[in-house]
Amino acid sequence: MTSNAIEIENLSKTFISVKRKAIIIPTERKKVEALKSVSLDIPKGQIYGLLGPNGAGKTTLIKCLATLVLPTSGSARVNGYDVLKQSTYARASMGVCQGNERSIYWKLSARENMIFFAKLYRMPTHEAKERADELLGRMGLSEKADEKAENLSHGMRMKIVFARALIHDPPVLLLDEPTQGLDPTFASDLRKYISEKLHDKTILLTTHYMHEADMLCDKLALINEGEIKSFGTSHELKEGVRDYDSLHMKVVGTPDIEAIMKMEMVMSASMKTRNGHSDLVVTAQNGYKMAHKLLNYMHSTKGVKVEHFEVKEPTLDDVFLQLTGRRIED
Amino acid sequence: MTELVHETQEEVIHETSEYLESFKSRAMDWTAARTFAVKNLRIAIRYPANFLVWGILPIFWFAPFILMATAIAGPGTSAHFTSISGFNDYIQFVVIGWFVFMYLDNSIWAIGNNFRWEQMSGTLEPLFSTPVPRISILLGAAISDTIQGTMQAGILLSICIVLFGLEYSIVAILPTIIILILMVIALYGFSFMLAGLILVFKDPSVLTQMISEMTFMVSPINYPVQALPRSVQFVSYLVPTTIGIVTIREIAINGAVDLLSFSQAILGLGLLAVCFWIVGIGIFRYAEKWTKQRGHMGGF
Repeated sequence: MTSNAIEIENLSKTFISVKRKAIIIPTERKKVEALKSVSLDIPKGQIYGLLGPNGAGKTTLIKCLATLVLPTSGSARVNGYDVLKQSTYARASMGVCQGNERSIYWKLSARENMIFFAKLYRMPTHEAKERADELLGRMGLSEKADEKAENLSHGMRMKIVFARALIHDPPVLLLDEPTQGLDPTFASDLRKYISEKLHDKTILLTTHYMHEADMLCDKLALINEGEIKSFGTSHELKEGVRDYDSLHMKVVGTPDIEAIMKMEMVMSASMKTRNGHSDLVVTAQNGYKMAHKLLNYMHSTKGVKVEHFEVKEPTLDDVFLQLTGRRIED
Repeated sequence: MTELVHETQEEVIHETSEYLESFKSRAMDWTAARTFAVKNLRIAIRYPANFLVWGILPIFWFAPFILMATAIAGPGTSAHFTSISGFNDYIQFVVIGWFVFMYLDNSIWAIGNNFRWEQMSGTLEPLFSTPVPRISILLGAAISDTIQGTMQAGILLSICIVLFGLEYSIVAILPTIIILILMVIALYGFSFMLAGLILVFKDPSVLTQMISEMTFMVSPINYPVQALPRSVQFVSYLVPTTIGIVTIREIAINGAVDLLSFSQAILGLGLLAVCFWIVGIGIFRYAEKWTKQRGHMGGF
């Protein structure tokens, strides 16, 4: 017997891309393992986050749960319903919000969009209207309810997409990058709503915003190349890298990242260069000793000048960097 | 309000609500089909150019054929046409063909394009995330297309009656409606098949253009079935509109309902409807599974 609202067991998804010659003759088959035996249980009422860079497998996992993609192997249950064998009940049990403002009808008004989807969830007309107005009100869109979506701002449209996921008051919510591309005010509104008003929901949230994951999620799964690399609370994950320090450096010029990575004590290093300025992040054991060494290296490197330097507390990005060698926002 | 329901047999707990308690899986959801149709029509009327498509464009499609025919054979008819078709007024003959063709054209282009439009708009995945039976979405799209097709056909017929002073039998109205309904039901199966193909092949233009041209060629719209080579005549009767056009012409122009041929037409259309629905739904289901396996549902 289980009380988990979402259960994912050894879920794998392999996509096969085929390159063809002369339209039909396949010349090359390439397997892309989007999910590699992912297992994750989410208890009722919890918010779990999937944190990872683009292409890590977050959206594929959400789509498997939303019954939009068939897994290659493994199983998943949403609200106790198998997403393959009881897909209709699984769909009725969840609301899906994909971070795409195009996923509503722009020629319909906010209210018409909400009522349309409510009816697809088999809500009676009067109930659909009441629920649509209630949710639009909660999103601060009452005055814009009769405005066609094409005349609304990006943030407003995203709020409609989010509200649509709640239309049938589902016990489970799948939120795929719900704040992507939103301006800070709208993003903050949505995060506040999720944290304050959706206590009774079980939520699986994908994001590549670390502060969002930190703020909203009870537990986090760090995912990369289709695998869950680490799992726990934000605090637990950061504790795991307490033995290491994160050194952040802004420099003029382009230091040799390969040379830095080969230095003793360096666990990982990443660098972004733009307009001749580089942002360098180095994770290393004994940060202060490393800082000295790194500064000496910069001073001795021709064409490189340090503008800013600090040793920071580890962030989820540092955890991710240490686990995978790449940054979440890469 | 939520509560927990224990299913001891499966040892699984489903969290439930009033909504989930009343929710039952259905093979067909008529409310969803109607809702989908209304949504499509509402969007259609918000694109003003559609009024031109409904009201004027069909005239430009078929006018060249009338002009060509009258240029060759003169106004009215030719002896050869009368001998093979059994009708002596070409314009009266051809207008019925185009009237029925509006339904065929809609069934070929509309549902497939509708799915493509949903795909391009980004709304196909949200639709498929809802617990609506797929057949309801397909039927909803089909019904809205039929309404648009009926508007096109009705306007075309009305304009032609006024423009050419045509006369058709009043007796024909009820039998014509019966034949049209059966024909449209059969065409829905055809449309489901095309919608499935569009889920797989994405861009419908080449595919639907090819099917559209082929069905146009084998259909007795501008010429009688007898004008086609014998082997092609058989293929022609596999397109539901052929039976529709032939029967409606007989009734509307001659003004008499021959019970035997009318019953045969109904039986023929019924058989085609069953076959097209089985094949259409089968292809659509396979296509949906195919796209879900490849993760292509919302892809371009």
